Amino acid sequence: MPSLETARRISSAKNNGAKTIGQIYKEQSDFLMEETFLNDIQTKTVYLYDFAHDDQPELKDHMTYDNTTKTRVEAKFIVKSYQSVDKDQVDYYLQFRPSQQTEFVEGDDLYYFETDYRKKYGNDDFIGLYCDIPDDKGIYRKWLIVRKEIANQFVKFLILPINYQLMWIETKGQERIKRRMWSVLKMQSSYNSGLWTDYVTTSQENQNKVWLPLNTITEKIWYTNEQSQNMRVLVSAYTDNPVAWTISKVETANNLGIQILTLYQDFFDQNKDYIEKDSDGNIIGLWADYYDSNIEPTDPDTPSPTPSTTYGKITASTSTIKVGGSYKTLTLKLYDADNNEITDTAIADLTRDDFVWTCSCDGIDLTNSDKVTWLSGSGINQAKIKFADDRSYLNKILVIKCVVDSVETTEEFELIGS
Amino acid sequence: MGEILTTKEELLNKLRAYAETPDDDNIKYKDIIRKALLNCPELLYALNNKELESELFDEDGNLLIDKDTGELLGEVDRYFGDNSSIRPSLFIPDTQTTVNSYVCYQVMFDELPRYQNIYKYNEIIFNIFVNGKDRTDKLTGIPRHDLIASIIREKFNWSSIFGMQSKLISSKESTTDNNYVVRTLIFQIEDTNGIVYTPFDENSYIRNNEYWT
Repeated sequence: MPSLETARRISSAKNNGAKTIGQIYKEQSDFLMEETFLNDIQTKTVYLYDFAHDDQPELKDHMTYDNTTKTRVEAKFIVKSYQSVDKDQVDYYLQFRPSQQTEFVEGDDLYYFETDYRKKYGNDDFIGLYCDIPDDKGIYRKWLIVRKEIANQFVKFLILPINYQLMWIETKGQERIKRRMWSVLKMQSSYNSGLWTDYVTTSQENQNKVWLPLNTITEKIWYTNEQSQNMRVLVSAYTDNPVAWTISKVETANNLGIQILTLYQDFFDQNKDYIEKDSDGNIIGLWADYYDSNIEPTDPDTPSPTPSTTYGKITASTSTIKVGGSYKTLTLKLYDADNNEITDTAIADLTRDDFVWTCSCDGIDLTNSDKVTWLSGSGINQAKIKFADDRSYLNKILVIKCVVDSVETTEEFELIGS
Repeated sequence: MGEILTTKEELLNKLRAYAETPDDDNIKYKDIIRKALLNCPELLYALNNKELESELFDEDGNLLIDKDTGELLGEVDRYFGDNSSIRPSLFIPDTQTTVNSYVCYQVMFDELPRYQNIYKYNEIIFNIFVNGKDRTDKLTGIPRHDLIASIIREKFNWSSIFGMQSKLISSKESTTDNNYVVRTLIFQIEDTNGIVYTPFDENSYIRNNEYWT
C-alpha cells in the first residue's frame, strides 16, 4: 500500500514522466542514491578521458590533477569478483551517480566522446574511455571502461586495470611513427607446451591477448602494415629477452569501442627489433620492426623545425627507392606557419623551372650523375627519380632536396633492393 | 690459390657481383625475369592491383610509358618484392586480408642430360595464384590465372632471354585450399652446368676440366 505522500505524487505526477508506482519507486531510489552517494566507502573521485586528453600519457599510476584535461566525476568502484592466481584478470564495476550525464552536447567536457567515439565507432556510453581511480591508498591508477551492464537501475560499467603500454611502429606512406597506447593484457589459452618441432627445427608457440580502446591511432593496427608485412609487436616484461608476437586476430565488433588483439608468438628479429634503453641502461621501450628501415621512426609529437614561415615537405608513396627499380614520384607540398597546406595557391604563379631538385648520398651530389635519372612529374611541383642498378648503394640514404622560392625542403629515402 | 678478401666492402662487392656474372643461374635468371616483367604492362594490369593501377595508367587511360624505349614511367617496382604481387620465391607468409593475386618464380634444376655433365636441364617455374573471388578478368572475360599464364608464356616461351632458348614443358592447373586458383608454368632450358667461373674483379673463363681445390 503506497504512502499518502506517494499517492499524492502519483496523482500530481506531471513533469517527471513517471506514470507507474514502479517508476516512482525508481525515482525515490535514485534520489536516495544521489543523496547518499558520498557516504559509501566505494565512492571515489575519478577522471574520465581518452588518449587525446591524457595530460600525463607516460603514467599509468600516481597521476596528479593540477590543470588536468581529464573530466572529473564521482563514481563507485565496486568489487564483484575475486582474483585468483590461475584466473585471467577479473573485471570490476564502476557505477556513476544516477544524475551522471551519459550523452553530451557541444560545450560539455566530454562532447568529444559523442563526435569521436559514439558517432564514429558506435561506442555505447563511456566505452573505450580511460578512467583514473584511486586505490585504497589514494594513488590514482588507470583503468579502461570495457562494457556496459544494462540494468533497470544503477547501471554499471565493467572496467579492467591498465597493465601494459603497447608499442608499435605505424607506417603511413613514407612516415614511420612510434605509437604507444595503454592497454590491458589478457590471457589466451594455448594448451601446448610452448614448443613446436617439425621435421628439422623447433620453434616457440604461444598466444596472448591485448585489449585496447578503439581510436584513430589503434584503428590502424591490422594483420598487415602498408607494406603488406605481418604486423608484429614485442609484448613482455622489460628484459633483454623480450617476446615477439604477430597479430593474428583483430576484433573490433565484439565490443564496440574496444579493439581486441590476439597475438601469436613469433621470432624475435635481432636485426629489426629494438630494445630501447635510457642512458642508465634501463629498458624504456620494446619496438618490433623498428629497424625495418634505415630511416628511424619518429615520435608522433616531434614537430619538424618549428615553422615561423612557409615550409615544405616532399611526399612520396613510401620512404624507400629501389636500386634498379622504376621511377618514384616526388611531390613538394607547401605549408604556412600555421601548418595549413597552401600548395595550390603558392605555386599558382610558378613554372616547373622554379623547382630545383637535387639529390645526394653520403654527402656526394648525385643530381647529374649516371646513378639517377630524372623525369618531370605530371604537376609542376612533382618530379620523378629513378636510381641505377648499382648495389653498392644498397642500404644507404638518398637525400633529396627541392628549392622553390627560397623555401628549401629535404627528405631522406632509403635505397633498397628490388 | 683463391682470392683473399681483406675488407667488408670487398666481400660485399664480391657477393654483389653474383648478380652480374654468368656463374650462378639462379641469381642471374631471377634478375632477368624481374627486369622482363618490370616493363610488362600486360602482366601488371592482369594482376588487378587496384591500388597500383594509377601507376600504369593516367586519368585519361593512357599508359604511363616512354614511347621511344617502352619503359614504364610509373612506380611499377611496387609490384615486385618480398611482400608484393610478384615474388622471387614461393613464399607468402603474410596474412592475407584482401583479394590479391601473386606470381612467384623459382629457378632450379635436378637433372642432367645423359652422358652430358656439362649441361643441365634448368627449370624456371612460375606459380600463379589468383584469389577465387577475382578469378575472371572482367574486361577481357578470361580466367585471370589463364590470362597471366598466357602473358608469361608470350614473354618466355621459345625466348632466348636467358641466353639459351627456354621452352614451356608444363602448364598445370590446381588449387590451394579454398582460396586460390593456381596455374604453374615450367620452362626448361638446356643450359650449361655452371662451367663459367668469374674470379672477383677479373674476366670470366670456362672452368670444368682443370683440377682445383
